[in-house]
Amino acid sequence: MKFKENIIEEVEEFSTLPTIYTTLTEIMANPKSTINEVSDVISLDQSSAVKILKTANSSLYGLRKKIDTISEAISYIGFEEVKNLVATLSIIEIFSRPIGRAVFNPVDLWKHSIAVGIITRMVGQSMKNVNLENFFVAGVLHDLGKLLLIKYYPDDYNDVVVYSLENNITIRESEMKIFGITHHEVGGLLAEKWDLPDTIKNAIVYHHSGFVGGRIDQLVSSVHLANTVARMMDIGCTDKTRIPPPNNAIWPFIKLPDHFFTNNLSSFVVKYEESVNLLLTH
Amino acid sequence: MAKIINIEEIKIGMIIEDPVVNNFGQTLLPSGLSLSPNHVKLLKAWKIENITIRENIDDEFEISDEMRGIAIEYINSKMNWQPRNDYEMDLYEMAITNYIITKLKK
Repeated sequence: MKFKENIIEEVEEFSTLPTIYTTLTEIMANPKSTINEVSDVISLDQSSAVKILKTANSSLYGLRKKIDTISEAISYIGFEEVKNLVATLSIIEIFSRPIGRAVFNPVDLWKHSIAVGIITRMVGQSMKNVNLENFFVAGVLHDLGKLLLIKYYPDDYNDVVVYSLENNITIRESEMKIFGITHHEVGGLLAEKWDLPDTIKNAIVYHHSGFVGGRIDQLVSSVHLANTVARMMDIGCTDKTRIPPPNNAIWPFIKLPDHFFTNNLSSFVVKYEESVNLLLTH
Repeated sequence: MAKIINIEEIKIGMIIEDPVVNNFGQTLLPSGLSLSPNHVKLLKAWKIENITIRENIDDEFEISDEMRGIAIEYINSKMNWQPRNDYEMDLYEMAITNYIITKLKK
């Protein structure tokens, strides 16, 4: 299991998130902190600040009011959400460079991930009594481990895909066979290193089932379903392996309204195009 | 494509084309929003009678049986399962419509 050990080492040595994120985490851990302190830190980083404002004003959040300042963004979409959007913007930048001969292009994987983020939030919106915080971000970051694997092992990841196709097994099983570790676990290790919140880490580690420790989880099951939906829509197509069915146990729990998917198709397309333009362009 | 409809004709999930404003010029609902039951309540509370909605993308196209056949074949080849309940049937239908629209747009 040489691969597994090397991969774990890569994660340990992998770059840290920019200081803006760690500073925000520290400020927010202090109960005496104010919105102004947080917005001051974000405003120092012009490009993040602009993207946060654009995202807060996009159809993704569907706010009725125009958001002009970071403090307003914080009061409308929440501290946590803003902080994790900052992390997401940095992570997209870290994993955006194209990789040589690999089957996977990180931009395609990000397109898929943004689609998953949007659908996760739309599914969450349709559930009752749900705190939507982190739904979008958790969806966007669910394949973190895959991004790291294709960055360091592009050729071997091609082998994973081929092996999965030839033997008609899932990517997860194929990763286990070739690397001795799955992209879920790798993503979980990276999330831990970066100190991402547990909700997001759970989505990364458990998105293949929607269950966390044997219990169904609102956010994780939404990411699980959204992953299938985005693949059924061929968005930023990640690989040619066949799409597995969603976990049948999630349906009675999620209780979507009738015709949820067909009714929301156009809304989804609008949000997707807007978010991709926003998040994947400099 | 947009069309004006009476709020009695609203179906949940329809997309707003022009922002809905009240008599004071404040935006109640922005463009691009997908209507939920709460939005409809809000419109009724403000006594809004008509709104402009984006027409369903699939309403704009004539979908022939042949096109649908090609779409079904493609979607089936991507999946290793068959829909087991109404939710999955709806998801499957959505994938078919999405495939056809994407092809037609090109």
